[in-house]
Amino acid sequence: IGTLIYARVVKANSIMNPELSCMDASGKAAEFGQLKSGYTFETSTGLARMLLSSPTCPLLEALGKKLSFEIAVGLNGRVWVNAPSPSNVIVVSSAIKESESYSRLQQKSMVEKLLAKLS
Amino acid sequence: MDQRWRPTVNEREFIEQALQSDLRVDGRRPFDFRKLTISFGREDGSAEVLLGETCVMGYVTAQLVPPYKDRPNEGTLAIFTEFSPMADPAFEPGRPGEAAIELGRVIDRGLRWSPDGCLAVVFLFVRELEVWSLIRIHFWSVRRESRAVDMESLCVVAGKHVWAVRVDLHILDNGGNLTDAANIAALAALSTFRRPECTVGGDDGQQVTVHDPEVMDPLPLTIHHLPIAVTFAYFGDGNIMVIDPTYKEEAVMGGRMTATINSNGDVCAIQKAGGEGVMSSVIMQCLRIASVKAADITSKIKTKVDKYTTEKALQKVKRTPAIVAKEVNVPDVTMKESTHSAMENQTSKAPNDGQQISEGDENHQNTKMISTLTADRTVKHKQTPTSVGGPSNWDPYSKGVSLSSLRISRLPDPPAVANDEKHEDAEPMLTESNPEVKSVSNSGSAGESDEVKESRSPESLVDAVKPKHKRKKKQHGKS
Repeated sequence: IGTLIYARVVKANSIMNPELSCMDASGKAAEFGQLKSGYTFETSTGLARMLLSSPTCPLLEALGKKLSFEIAVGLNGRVWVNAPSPSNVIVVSSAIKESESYSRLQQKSMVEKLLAKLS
Repeated sequence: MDQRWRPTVNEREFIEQALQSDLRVDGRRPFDFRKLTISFGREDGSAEVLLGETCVMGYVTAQLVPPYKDRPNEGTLAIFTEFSPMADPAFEPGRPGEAAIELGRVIDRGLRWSPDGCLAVVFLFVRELEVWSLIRIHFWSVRRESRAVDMESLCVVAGKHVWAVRVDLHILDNGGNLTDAANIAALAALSTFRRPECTVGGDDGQQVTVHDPEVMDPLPLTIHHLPIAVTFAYFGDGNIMVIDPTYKEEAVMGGRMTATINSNGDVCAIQKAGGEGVMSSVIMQCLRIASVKAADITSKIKTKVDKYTTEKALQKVKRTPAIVAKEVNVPDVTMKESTHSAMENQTSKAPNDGQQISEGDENHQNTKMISTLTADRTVKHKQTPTSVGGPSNWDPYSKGVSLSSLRISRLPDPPAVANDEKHEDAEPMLTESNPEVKSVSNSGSAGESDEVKESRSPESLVDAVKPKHKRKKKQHGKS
C-alpha cells in the first residue's frame, strides 16, 4: 500500500469498480507501471491538462533546458517528478505548483527567474 | 470510512532523502518557520492565524461565574478546541465515542498536573483522536502552569464572582503543525480580548454590575508573558529534526516534540508523546533553537497586536468627536505615547447615548478609508480643547462634500454658538446620514459637521485652517 502506479483507465462508471490497465491501447507497456523514487504531489486537474498539452507547455520546456528530470502527469492532478538530485526535484515541483495561475508567457518568465536565482 | 490521506512510498522516501541534504520539500531550511499571518476580527478577542497553509481561529469570551471552592480568589481559563472536518478529512464531526474516556483521563491528568499555588480544574473538551488530546493538555497546562494569564486579576468578589475566560480554538485548515498555530491564535486572541468593566456595589458590597462596553471601556487581560510553542519533527533515527512540519512531513515523521518557551528563555513546557526516541543532547539543542524562534515569533505577535490595538483605539476616538472635545483635559500627549490611555480617558468621560453608537457604526466604515488621517484627527483632538469640535471634525480630504452640501438645506438655522446645541444638531444629522453614508466613503460626519461649522462660524473654520496646518507639520516632525 502506498506504491505509485501510472496507469490508464479502461472503464470507469458509477456501478462498478474502475478498471485500470498498465498497457496502452495497442497492448504495449509504454511507460506505464510502477513509478519508483522521485516525489509526487497533487495539483488541480486544469494544471495537469496544461502540463500535458500537445505543444509542450513553456514551463516544462524552460525547465527542461536547464535541468534534467522526468515527470509523469496524471489527469487526476497527480504529478510525479524524478531527478538525479533532490534539489532539482524540489525546484521542478515548486515551479509546477506556482504556475497554477500563470499564462504561457508568464510561465516562461517565472521559470527563468527561478533558474537565475538558483545558478 | 477512515478518510485519512496516506503518503505514498515515493513521498516518504523522498522527504527523508531530501532531509539528508537539509532540503525540505517546500524549499525551507530545516529550522525555518512558514509565513505567519495574524489577522483580527471585528470583535475584541478574535484572531485568525495562518501559518503557511494551517489556519486556526481563536475566540475568547468571558463570563462571571462562582469560583471553585479551593481557589476562591482566582478566575479560570478554559481552552476548547473544535476540529472541524473541513480542516482535514481525518477529523470526524461530532463527538467520538471514546471521548468520554479521554475526557476522564484528561481531567485526571489536569488535576495531577496543576502544581501548588496554581489553578483548579479546567475542563477540556476533546473531540478527536488521542494524539490531539495530548497536545491540548500540554497547551492548556502551559497557559495555566506558566501563569501567563494573571488569574487573580480576574477575581471580582472573592468566593462569589470571578471571571471565567474561555478560549475557543477552531481548526479551519490542517496544513501541519496545529499546535503552534493554535497556540499563536490563542495568544493573539487573549492579547486583544477585552473583558467588561464591572464594579462592586450595592448594600452589602456584594452586588456586581457589569458595565456595557459603551459605557465604560472594557479592560484587557493581564498577560505576564507569551509562551510560544515550537514543534519539532523527527526523521530518520531521531537525528534529523525540522521545525514547523507541514502536513506531508507530519505524515512521514518518526516522532514530534513541542517545546513551549517564552521570550525570556523560560521553558514553560515540553511535550513529547510517543514516537521515536531522541537523545537528550538533541533535546537540549532543540530547546536552544526554540528559544530563538520563540523570541522572533513573540515580537511578531506583539507588533501585530499593538497595531490592531492602536487602530481600535483610534476608532473609539472618532466615535465621540465633538462631545469629548470640551471635556478633554489631556495635556500635551503625543500620538506615540499613551495613545491608549488617553483614548480611554476621553471615551470614559463621554456620555452614553445611542447616537454615539450610530457614529461608531459610521466610523467603522470610515476608519478603513481614512486610516492614514486618523493620526491627524487624534492630534487635533488633544490640542484643541477649546475649539468646539470644528477642527477636530474638519476633514480636508473628505470626498463627501457634495453630499453634505445637499444637506445644507436641511440644516437648522444656526442659533448662538453654544456647544450643546451644536452637538445636538450634529448628531441628528449624523444618524440620518447613516444609511446613506454607508455607500459613500469618507463623507459622513466629517463632511457634515464641516458644513455645520462653516455655515455657523466661518471664523472658526479659518482659525481651524491655521492650527491644523501647524499641527500637521508638528505631526510630521514628530513621526
